[in-house]
Amino acid sequence: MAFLDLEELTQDEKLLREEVHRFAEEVVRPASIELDRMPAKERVKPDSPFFKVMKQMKRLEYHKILIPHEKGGLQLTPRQAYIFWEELGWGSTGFATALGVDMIPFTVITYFGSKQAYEELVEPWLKRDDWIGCWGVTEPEHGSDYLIMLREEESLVEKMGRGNVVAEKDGNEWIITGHKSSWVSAAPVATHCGLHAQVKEGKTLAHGLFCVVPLNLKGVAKGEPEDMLGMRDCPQGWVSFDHVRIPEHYVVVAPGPFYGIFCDQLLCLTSVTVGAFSVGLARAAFEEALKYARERVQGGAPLIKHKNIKLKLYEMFEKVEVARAYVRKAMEYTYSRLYKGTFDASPRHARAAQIFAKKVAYEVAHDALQIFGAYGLHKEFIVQKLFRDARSLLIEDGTVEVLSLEAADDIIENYEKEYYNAESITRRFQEYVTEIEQKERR
Amino acid sequence: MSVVFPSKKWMDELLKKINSDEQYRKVAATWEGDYLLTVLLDEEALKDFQDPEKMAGLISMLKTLPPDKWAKFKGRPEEKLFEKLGLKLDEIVRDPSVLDRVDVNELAKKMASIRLEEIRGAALYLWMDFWHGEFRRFEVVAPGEKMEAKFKLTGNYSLYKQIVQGKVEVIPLVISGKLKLHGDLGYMLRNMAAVKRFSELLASIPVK
Ligand SMILES: Cc1cc2nc3c(=O)[nH]c(=O)nc-3n(C[C@H](O)[C@H](O)[C@H](O)COP(=O)(O)OP(=O)(O)OC[C@H]3O[C@@H](n4cnc5c(N)ncnc54)[C@H](O)[C@@H]3O)c2cc1C
Repeated sequence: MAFLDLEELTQDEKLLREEVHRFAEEVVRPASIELDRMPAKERVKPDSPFFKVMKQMKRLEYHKILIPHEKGGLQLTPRQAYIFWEELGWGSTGFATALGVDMIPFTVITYFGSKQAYEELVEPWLKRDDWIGCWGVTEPEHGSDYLIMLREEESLVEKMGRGNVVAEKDGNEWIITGHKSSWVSAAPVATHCGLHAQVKEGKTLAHGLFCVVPLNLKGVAKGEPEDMLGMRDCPQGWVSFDHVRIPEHYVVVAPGPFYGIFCDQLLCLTSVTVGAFSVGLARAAFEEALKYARERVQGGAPLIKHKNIKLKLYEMFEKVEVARAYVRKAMEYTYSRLYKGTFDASPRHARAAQIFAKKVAYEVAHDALQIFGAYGLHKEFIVQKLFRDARSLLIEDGTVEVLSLEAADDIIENYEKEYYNAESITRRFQEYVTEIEQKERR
Repeated sequence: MSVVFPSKKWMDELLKKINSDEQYRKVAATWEGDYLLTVLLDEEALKDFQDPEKMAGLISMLKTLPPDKWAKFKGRPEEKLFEKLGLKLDEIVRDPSVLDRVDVNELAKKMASIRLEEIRGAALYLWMDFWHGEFRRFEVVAPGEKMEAKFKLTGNYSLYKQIVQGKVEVIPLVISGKLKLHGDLGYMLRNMAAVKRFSELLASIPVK
C-alpha cells in the first residue's frame, strides 16, 4: 500500500523505497511465509528459500548499505537506511534480522578492524553471496546479563558469574572455548560469527572482547535450528567452540575501556535498526487490518463503518506514524555517528527507539489480529505470523523490560548531558583490565 | 625533505605542520587536553638505533630534557640502557652537556650488543599539549612526569613508527588493544575529527 510520508522524500529516496518495497513484497514476504510453515530442519537445507533470498539480497548489495564507498560499500544516508530497514521489515522481520546480523562481524571489522582483517574477511564477504554472518552474544547462563552488565552496579555484575564462552591468549593466537545460547539468529546457516567472549582471567562478563570467528575452523559446532513460535524465517540455533584458535587480528575489540563503549554503541546501532524494522512490521499489520476491514461485512456493513473498528484503525495509524518519526530521527542520529567514526550515539534515545517501536509492533499486530476475528488465527492469513513475530521482537536483541531498565540508568546518570557520557563505562571497564595487567606484572 | 624519526627535528616539524594547518585549527577548535605518550623500546627500536643517524636523532631529543629531570631515570630500565651505552647517569645528572660530546657512531655500535631482556620497560616519554586548535607544546619528559595528562597512550616503538609512517591508524590500534589508551575515551570519540586530522598530518611528514 502506498502512504504519505511526512518527511517528503526526495526522488532518490522515493525510488529506493519503491525498489526495496517491491523486493520485500515479491520476494521476501512469500519466502518468509513459506519458511514459517516449514519444519525447522527443512529451513536450513541448501535448497531452502532462506538461501535463495539471502543470495538475492547479496546480489542486490543490500549487505553493503552501511559500508563506506571507499571500502567497497554503498553507504546509504542514515535516512535512506531507515527507509531500507522499514521496507525490509515490512516484508519480514526474520529476513531483516538475518541481514542485520550478517552485517555485524564484517561491518565492525570495516570500521574498527585492521587492514589485514579487512582484506581477509570483509573483501570476500563483499563479493560473495554465500558468506553469512551471525552475532553471538547471549549464552545459556547469560541472556539479559550481557545487556545489563553495562550500567549495573559492579557488585551485581560480579554476581552474574563467569561467561560461558572464554577467550585465552596463546602467543599470537586466541583460543575460544564455550557455548552460545540456542537463540543466535542465523547461527545454523552462518559461516562467520561476530563473537563476544570473556577473557579467561577476567573477573566478569564485562571483561570481554569482540572477535570474528570463521565457523569452518576446527572445534566449531553449530546446532540444529530451533522450533520457535515466531521469527521462524530466520533460523536460531546455538554455536559452540572447543579450543578454536583464531589469529590475533581477528580480535577486533580488545578487553578494556573500549570494549564497554563498543558494546554500548553496538547496542545503539542494533536498537535503531530493530526499531526500524519493527515499524515495518507494525505498518504491515496495520495495512492488513485496513484492507480487511474495508472488505469484511458484518452487521450489514463493512467493518470500517463500526466505530470500535474505526477507533482501532486510527490508534494503529497513530502509533505507526509516531514510531516512524521517532525511530527515523534516532536512526539518523545514531548512524551518522557511526559514519563519522565518533561512535558517540545516545544510548537512552537509541534504546527508546527500539523499545517503543517493538511495543507498537506488538500492539498493532495484536489489534490487527482482533480485527480479523477467527480468520486472524488462521495460517492462511499473514496476520498471525506478524503477531507471532511481533511477540518475539519483545525478546530479541534484549527484552523490552531489560532494555528499559538499562536506558533508565543512562537517563538517571546522563539526562542533562548533551553528549555521550562514556566516563563511567570507561572507568569501570578500565579497572577490569588494570587489575589483570597488575597481576601480570606481579 | 624527509626528517629522521625519532629526532628533535621531527618533533619541530610536527609542531609546525599542525599549527599551520587551517583544517586542524577548525576541527580541533574546542579540544582541551594533553597526551602523555610512552614509547616502549622493542626489538625494532634496538635495531633502528644501531643506525647512527637514528641514534643521533634520539640523543637530539633527550638533550631537550631540562637538567633537573635526569635524576628521575635513577633505578629505572632507562638507566640500564644508558649504562649499556657507556653513559653514566650520575654524570649526566651533574652535567647534561656531556650528551653534546657523545660519539653517536660509538653509541650506535654498542646498541648492537644490547638484548631486550636487559632493558625491558625502557621507554621514551613524550608530552603533547593541545588547546583550542593549537598544538601548544611537544616535549620529551622524564618518567613519572605528566602523569596527570588527560590521555595516556602506551605502546611499542614499532607501532608508533608505523603510525608515523602512515601505515596504520591509531584508533584501530587502540581498539584492538595494541596501543593502550587511558583517559576519557568518550571525549576522544566525540572529537574524532581532530584526532583524524592530527593523524593525517602526522603521517604526511616524510620520515627516514
Ligand atoms: C528471535 C530471537 C532472536 C535472537 N537473536 C539473537 C542473536 O542473534 N544473538 C544472540 O546472542 N542472542 C539472540 N537472541 C537472544 C536474546 O537476546 C535473549 O533472548 C534476550 O536478551 C533475553 O535473554 P533470555 O532469553 O536469556 O532471558 P532472561 O535474561 O533469562 O530473562 C528472563 C526474564 O527476566 C527478565 N530479566 C532478566 N534479567 C533481569 C534483570 N536484571 N532485571 C529485571 N528483569 C530481568 C527479562 O526481562 C525476562 O522477562 C535472540 C532471541 C530471540 C527471541
